[in-house]
Amino acid sequence: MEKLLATAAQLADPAVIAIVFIGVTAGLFVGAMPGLTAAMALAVLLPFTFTMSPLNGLVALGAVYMGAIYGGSFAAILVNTPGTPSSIATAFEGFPMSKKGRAVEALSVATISSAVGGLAGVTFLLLLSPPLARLSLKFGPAEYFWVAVVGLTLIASLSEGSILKGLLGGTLGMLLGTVGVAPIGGETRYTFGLPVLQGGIEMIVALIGLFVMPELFSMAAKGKAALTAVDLKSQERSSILATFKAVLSQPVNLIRSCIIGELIAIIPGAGGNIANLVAYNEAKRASKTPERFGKGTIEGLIASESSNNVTVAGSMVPLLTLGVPGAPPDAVILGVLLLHGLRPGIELFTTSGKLTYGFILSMGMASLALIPVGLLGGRIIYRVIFRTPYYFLVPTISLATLLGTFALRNSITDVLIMLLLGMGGYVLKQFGIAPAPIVLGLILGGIAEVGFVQAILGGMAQTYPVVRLFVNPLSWILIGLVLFSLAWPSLSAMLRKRSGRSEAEEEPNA
Amino acid sequence: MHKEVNTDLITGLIGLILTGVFYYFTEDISFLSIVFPSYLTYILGVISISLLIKAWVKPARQPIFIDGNNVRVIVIGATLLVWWIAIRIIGFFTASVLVMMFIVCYLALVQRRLTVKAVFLWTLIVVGEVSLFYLIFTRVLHVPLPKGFLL
Repeated sequence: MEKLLATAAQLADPAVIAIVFIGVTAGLFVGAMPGLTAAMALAVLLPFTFTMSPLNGLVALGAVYMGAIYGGSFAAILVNTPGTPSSIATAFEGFPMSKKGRAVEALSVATISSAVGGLAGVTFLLLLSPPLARLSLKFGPAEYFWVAVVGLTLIASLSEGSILKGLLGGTLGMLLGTVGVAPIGGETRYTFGLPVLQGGIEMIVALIGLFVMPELFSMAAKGKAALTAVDLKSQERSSILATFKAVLSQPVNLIRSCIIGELIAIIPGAGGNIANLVAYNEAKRASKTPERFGKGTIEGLIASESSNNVTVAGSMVPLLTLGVPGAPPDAVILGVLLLHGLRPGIELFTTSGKLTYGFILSMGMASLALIPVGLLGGRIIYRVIFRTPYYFLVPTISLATLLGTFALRNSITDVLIMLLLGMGGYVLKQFGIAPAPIVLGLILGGIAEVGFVQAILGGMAQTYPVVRLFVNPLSWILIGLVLFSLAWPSLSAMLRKRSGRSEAEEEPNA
Repeated sequence: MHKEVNTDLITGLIGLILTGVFYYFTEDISFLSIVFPSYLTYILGVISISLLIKAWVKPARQPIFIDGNNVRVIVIGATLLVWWIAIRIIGFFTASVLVMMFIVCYLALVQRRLTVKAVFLWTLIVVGEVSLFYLIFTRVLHVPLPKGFLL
């Protein structure tokens, strides 16, 4: 508690407050552009934090993350195109509201729900992280290996499309992660005779290439249709106070959506893109008027927007405690932590507690900053984005991407790697291999390799060293999760078939 | 009408090729350095073969490259590679202004005619934009951007 109060005092610095507001605004800019994700916002804006102190850098990235996830709702509500995958369900209700001339009300509901969700995520993070960080001490190499595998199988099974393609992408990502010097053996692998690859593929370079470039190519291919501007014709006077009351008059919906968001955020690999759909679905199931869903009800909007913003701070739980990014944007945060010599785990909450708590609390500030930035500046930001011709957006994003990649290590080779990965990612995406599992494989590959090799080293005295991966009860719990996530697509298909059959049987009696 | 293709077959083949590449380049180095990548290569092979079996038994068919104009994707991809080469030769600033102007004009042609006035205005915008980024990165962030023989 003392640490928290001391940290709160640090955040009262006007410079920190300014960083929060600038970060939220920058995130909102990127997040509002359809197709450009929060991971991209963080990756592109990362170089701007290099000259900042560790706390200010993390505060800026936390604010950008919060703003980008919220920004996704703008395009979802006004153009029916989710700005980020975390706002898919927002479009289900927000766009019908816009069509009815209630766009401003929808944006206000999204803003307030996002702020509430963001604050809930910070609360969860503050409550859950310290005990989980202590629990992480029980994790040995084998458990870390299995945590990485859980993350990978989950993203493969939860992401759209075939699980086999998801696993292929994840394995490919892990293999790409092995390029360069081995973390334990110390020798170089898969450099293909190119000395420049000895340093390996920088995680953020891959992240920029695989997430940003495919969207950029897609924007170029679509032409003007990539960003279709709509005028805010809505003339209704939506009182902010009335919207506050409307959102807060649904405490059960809010609490349920926040809990769903947090539960999903904790799972490595899952994030706002899944949370918003699950929360929306549950809100619809629990609603007394489910038939109104899809036609412009604020219930669905509240569920989607509160749950996706919970995941911003919520997904930091596995990151700060185990070093496992809960979602792709967290990988950038992990990169920054490592850059400043901070290792996830219990030390973050003890030795570096002031910095960690400062970062966590600043995300709460960013959630609150969403309200003035979103309600007052959001519409202006939106107009700026959608009035900028796409033929300027494509080269501008390219320039920022190129510079961002170069600035990471002052390496022109990284730029080439980023471009090649981006082109490869675009082609693979066409065949159903999404970038998320590849990136996650790359991120989790390092964790998995260290865990795997250390476990094998520990089991060298046994006939089969690999058995060491299966001896601890905690490992078996994680193996259970791996098997469950692999079986989930078939199980859910079976359940859907069964429920479809029972509905069909009920119909003749109705 | 876009033709649907068996994406399981294509991804399975891509996976097999990559398995072959990684298997071929698996060097004879210490066990600790290569054990994990070796296992991954086998797993990649197994997944690829599973995809090929699925492609035969229950294939997934979907149209590909349907986002819009694919020629534009190729041109933009090639231009970005030219940008990368040009940065090293003529420097970041000059290369960026030239390449960005090309992209702006090329993409603008899709929806409007080019006029001297418009091109002049865009040149000013592009030069201003690149200058801003250049100054931020070199002066504020102290990133040594490649200079080449120009700037």
